[in-house]
Amino acid sequence: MNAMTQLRVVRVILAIGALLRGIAWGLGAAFTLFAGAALIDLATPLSLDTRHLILAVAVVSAVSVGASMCWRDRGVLSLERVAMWIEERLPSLEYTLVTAVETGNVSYVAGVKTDRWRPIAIRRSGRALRTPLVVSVAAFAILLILPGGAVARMTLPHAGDSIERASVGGRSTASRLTPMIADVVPPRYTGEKPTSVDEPRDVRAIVGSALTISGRGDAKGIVARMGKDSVAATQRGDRWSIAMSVSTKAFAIRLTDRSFERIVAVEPVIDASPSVVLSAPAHDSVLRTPKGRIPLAANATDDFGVVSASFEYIVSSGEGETFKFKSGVIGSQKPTGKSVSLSSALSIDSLELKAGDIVHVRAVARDANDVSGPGIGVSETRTIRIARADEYDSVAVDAAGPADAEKSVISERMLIILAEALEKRRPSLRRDTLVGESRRIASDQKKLRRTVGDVVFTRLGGDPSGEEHTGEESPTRAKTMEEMLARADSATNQSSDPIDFEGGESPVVAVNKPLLEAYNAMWSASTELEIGEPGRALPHMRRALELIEKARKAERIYLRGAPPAVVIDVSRARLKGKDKGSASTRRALSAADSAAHSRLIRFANIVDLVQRDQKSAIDSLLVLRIDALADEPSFASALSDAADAMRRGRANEASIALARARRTLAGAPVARDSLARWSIVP
Amino acid sequence: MPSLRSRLEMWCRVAAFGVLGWLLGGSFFTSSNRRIERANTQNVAAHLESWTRAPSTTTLHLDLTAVPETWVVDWLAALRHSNHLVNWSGSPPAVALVTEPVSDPEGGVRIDIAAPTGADVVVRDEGSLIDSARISALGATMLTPIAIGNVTATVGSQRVGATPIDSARLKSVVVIGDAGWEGKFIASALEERGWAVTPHFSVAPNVDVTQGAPLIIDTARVSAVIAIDTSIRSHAAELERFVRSGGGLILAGPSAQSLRALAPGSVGARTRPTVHPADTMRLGTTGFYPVMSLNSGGVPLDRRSDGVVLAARRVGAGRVLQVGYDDSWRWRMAGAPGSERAHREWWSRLVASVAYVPPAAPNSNEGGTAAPLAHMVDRLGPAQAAVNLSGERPPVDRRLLLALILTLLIVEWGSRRLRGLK
Amino acid sequence: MTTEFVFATAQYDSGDWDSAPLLPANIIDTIARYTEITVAPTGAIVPLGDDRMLRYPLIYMTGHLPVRFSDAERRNVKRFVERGGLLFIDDHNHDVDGTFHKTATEEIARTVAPLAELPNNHPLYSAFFKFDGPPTTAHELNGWGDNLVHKHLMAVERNGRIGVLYSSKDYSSEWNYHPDSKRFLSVDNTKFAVNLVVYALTA
Repeated sequence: MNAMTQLRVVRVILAIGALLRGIAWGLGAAFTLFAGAALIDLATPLSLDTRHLILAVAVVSAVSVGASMCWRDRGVLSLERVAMWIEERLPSLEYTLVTAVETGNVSYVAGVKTDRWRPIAIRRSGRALRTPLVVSVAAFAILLILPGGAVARMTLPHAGDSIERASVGGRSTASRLTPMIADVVPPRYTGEKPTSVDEPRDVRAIVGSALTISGRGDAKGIVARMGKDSVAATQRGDRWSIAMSVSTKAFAIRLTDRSFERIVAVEPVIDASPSVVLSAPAHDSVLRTPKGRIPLAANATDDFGVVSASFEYIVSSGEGETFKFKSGVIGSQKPTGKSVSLSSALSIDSLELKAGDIVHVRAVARDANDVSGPGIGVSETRTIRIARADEYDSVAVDAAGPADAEKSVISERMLIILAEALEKRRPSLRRDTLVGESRRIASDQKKLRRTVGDVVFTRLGGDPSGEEHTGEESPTRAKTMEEMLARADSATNQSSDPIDFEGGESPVVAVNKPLLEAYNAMWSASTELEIGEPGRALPHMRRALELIEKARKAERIYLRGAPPAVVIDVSRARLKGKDKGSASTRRALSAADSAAHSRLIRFANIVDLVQRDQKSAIDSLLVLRIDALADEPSFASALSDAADAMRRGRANEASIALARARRTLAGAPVARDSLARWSIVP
Repeated sequence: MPSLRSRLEMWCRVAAFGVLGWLLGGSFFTSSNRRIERANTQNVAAHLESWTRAPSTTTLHLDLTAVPETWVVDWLAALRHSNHLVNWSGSPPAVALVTEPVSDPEGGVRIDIAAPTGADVVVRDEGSLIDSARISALGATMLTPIAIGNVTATVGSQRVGATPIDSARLKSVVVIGDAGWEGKFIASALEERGWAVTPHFSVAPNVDVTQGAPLIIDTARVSAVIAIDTSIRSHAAELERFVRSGGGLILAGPSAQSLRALAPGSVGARTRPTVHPADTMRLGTTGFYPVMSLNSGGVPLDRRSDGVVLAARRVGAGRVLQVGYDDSWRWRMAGAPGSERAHREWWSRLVASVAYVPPAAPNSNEGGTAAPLAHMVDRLGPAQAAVNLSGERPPVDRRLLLALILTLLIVEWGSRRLRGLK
Repeated sequence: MTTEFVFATAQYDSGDWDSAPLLPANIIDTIARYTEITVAPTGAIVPLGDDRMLRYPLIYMTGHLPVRFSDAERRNVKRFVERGGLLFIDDHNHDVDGTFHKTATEEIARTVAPLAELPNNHPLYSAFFKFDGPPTTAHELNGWGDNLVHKHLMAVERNGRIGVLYSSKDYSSEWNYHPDSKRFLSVDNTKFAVNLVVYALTA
């Protein structure tokens, strides 16, 4: 190998050495920083932010130290410098090597012995590497001998690693409540990530979250109290832990470990129901004709996400005393995301509306809350009315009463309920009791049957009786009824079709067919009830009810005009009533502000305690804060500020916060700049 | 002829011996004149110990800008009793503080401060600052919902304090009248505030709505009675006995017409201002019964543009309040946000102002801190002139005299030595 | 503005609020007949969406159609109940499966609180006349509605006092007639209204 080639080899060796040296110094700086910080952390816990900063500084230091070292040794890249370096070590060259490099004329170094160049370069590189390697190794060794977790806290700082921090000394009498972390796993439907809080004092978590508080050490003897409930800690490896669920009410957890105590306040975050705004139609409207399409548009937003949204409508038809309703859903969506826009159109034609009908429409959205049930948000309701032809007529007609046929359903449903109840009690009743009660129902059923019979009889041409009978049926009546029953049988056996006028029947008979069948069914029911068999009577009773409902399908319209103005002559009516009332007793009401008042007393006691035992006062403030969180958020916030200020030793700030809390809860004092003439201070 | 210098030396020696003779003579012969020790507000406490050891011939004088603390005054009073002459001069502010529990179920403390007009007073308790005021007429009154620990008032450098006593023991409030919204909401408001209420509403002849025990109006059971209309006349005699024995009576609306002997004034025709649909209901928006011609002892407390709406009067040991409003319920139901609570507080305060409360035992130790100037005058006597108190010279410090003797001798000796003499 | 008792009927946007136009006069007549309560000779109609509804601490509401409160109506009803008012709602359909009942109870639950059964020994039933529970009406079993005798009224109570009183018994039909027709009745079927008003004025 000629001299120039050998020179280049030496350059490479020196360059590698310089690079390694830079790296070693960089690592040394980083390891030293980590080791120092870890030692400080052992003595005094460093906050998460500080450790993040240390990590960043360590990385930056490593890079900058390494880079600066490399930069310092950049001369190794120059052949001339390397040549000079060799010349310094081998004066026998007498600058021939440098001249050859500068002139490019290798003849100057032809025949020069180069066997010693490489070893010199290697030795030199090795020596340069020695010091940084020693530093790095020493720092690394310190990191290795540090307690477990100490290095991880520096190199991989994250929330919740405070219990990985080793304790110095490890006294068994020390509190196991420090260090402590709280892990919060929100309900799955929220899509929120689990979080950890180091040394928690206040934890905010969504309702339904799983909250686990854990610390280092044996679980035995560690108890958490929440109000009247208490939970003992369980062991998980080398840690103790207590798990609970976050409810809708704020609560304070009192953790006790022998004589040590810590309080953690848990503040629930309530999942709000979706907020829905109906933007179209923008207002209520009246349509002249039941035609067209009405565009519908709405917006729904939720704190965690809307899972379903739609428009709901209710159609009300009829007037006076008779109405029919039908409802439906249109434009259903199953969106994802916290905000959704809905749009659809309501086809008036498809609803088959008539004059006077009313449509109520609103937008509804649901969230995914599977903890306390889906939150349902609804928008305002818009009303769309179809104008009546006589919309602007003013005809004052009193409302007519219901037709006679309607009254035939008196108590049929009640009788069914009574019979069902009797049948249910049957196993526990004596036979004679059962028969007695069954016969009482039978008696009522008979009355009803007679009424239906009267109606049908009247319509079939007989004289109306118009009255219910009590007691036994008269022979005359019975005969008439039997005849009617025969007709009912023949009529009902002919056809089971709904009311129709085809087939040559008179309208009267056609209308009464269901009633006749009902009459028949009631007869059968009475028979069963008479022998104490309510269970066997029930199918007949239900059939009777069904048929009566069917008979009600006759259309009736009652005209309703403007309400009449009636002015009562109060003095003429005064005390004209026949009956006298009697004295009565009023119930006392409870105090409305009693919660606020008791909080005020507690607050006063806590302020009194501040001078004597600040730590207990801070704990009491936290508990009071939790209690007040739902009703008095401003007061709770002021208490939180006061507790924080006291913890940080800022007496002035604490006083201001306490004064603010006091005014928020108790109100500002009332002052007059002169002595009051009376003890009121208006 | 002795030179001027030698004369000077001689006089120095004479003067030195003269002062020495005076010192010696003073220690043998007690002057009939008293020695005066002085102190001021800031340093009097520091002097007390030394003054206690001083001979009783010493006059102890205080120059005061503020009254010292009670214990200092008491100490000085004790010195006075041991034949020290103790006197003081200066103009410490005359400040006094009284606290009284408000007769309200929710408690509260009324603080009355007497102080010179124009003074700034700051009131605080052990929790925080309560309020401050500039005195416009001899004092100030404050009402605070709660007082934490002792209450103190500061006027300049003068501090006064008092310990509020426990809340008043309250009995029930009777509300009497025809069934109607006003009676209902007055009873509701007071009950919501924590009062025990005994309503007695007439609905029909011999048909009443009542609550609790049969109606007996006396101070053993009842703190106050509220009459909401003229139906109160049937209880006139009973009410007069009740009020004269200390009970409180509130005559609301037109009810004062039925109890003229007790009412603070006569009842005028009800005012009926126009109320627009958009008007927010406030107290008196729909009008009131004004208090006309006040009876003897009647005091107007609140005036509106249409007349006096609130007046009070003491009758025997009790108090009667005449309130012109007969539909304060509208304020509660249809008022601005917070009106429900305001209505409740307003009615409670009215009742508190007249309610009969059994007197509580006064705090006998409080005199010194609550009215310090009065306390000091009581113990040490009134102020005296500040300077040149007759027959008494301020004592001369003996160390000064010794220093003077030495100086004179040194001057004499020095002069002689400079002249070459011994 | 007077201090006498004024019978107020609620006017709301979504339905037929005026389905019992004669009821107010009938009740005013009843109050005058049995008590000495100072009562206005005519009733008032109060829009629920208007703040003025707060000037009438007892309000009667009925209808057949769905009940859907607007934001203003909801706000006012909430304030009304919180401040001590009493809202009396009667289902003119007397149908617990019907749209009025379902929508009205939903609106009350959303605005104030869910309705709960009122026990039949509540002071309301002895406030003036004595009842063993809510009096049955002739309309409950008239063939319309749900054809049931409803044994209880429902209520939302605030601080021990009824804030919303809900009836499925169709008092609106029972009491919706001219007061002059009372002379034809052997039993005055409006007496329970006296209890309601006396309770509202004294509780």
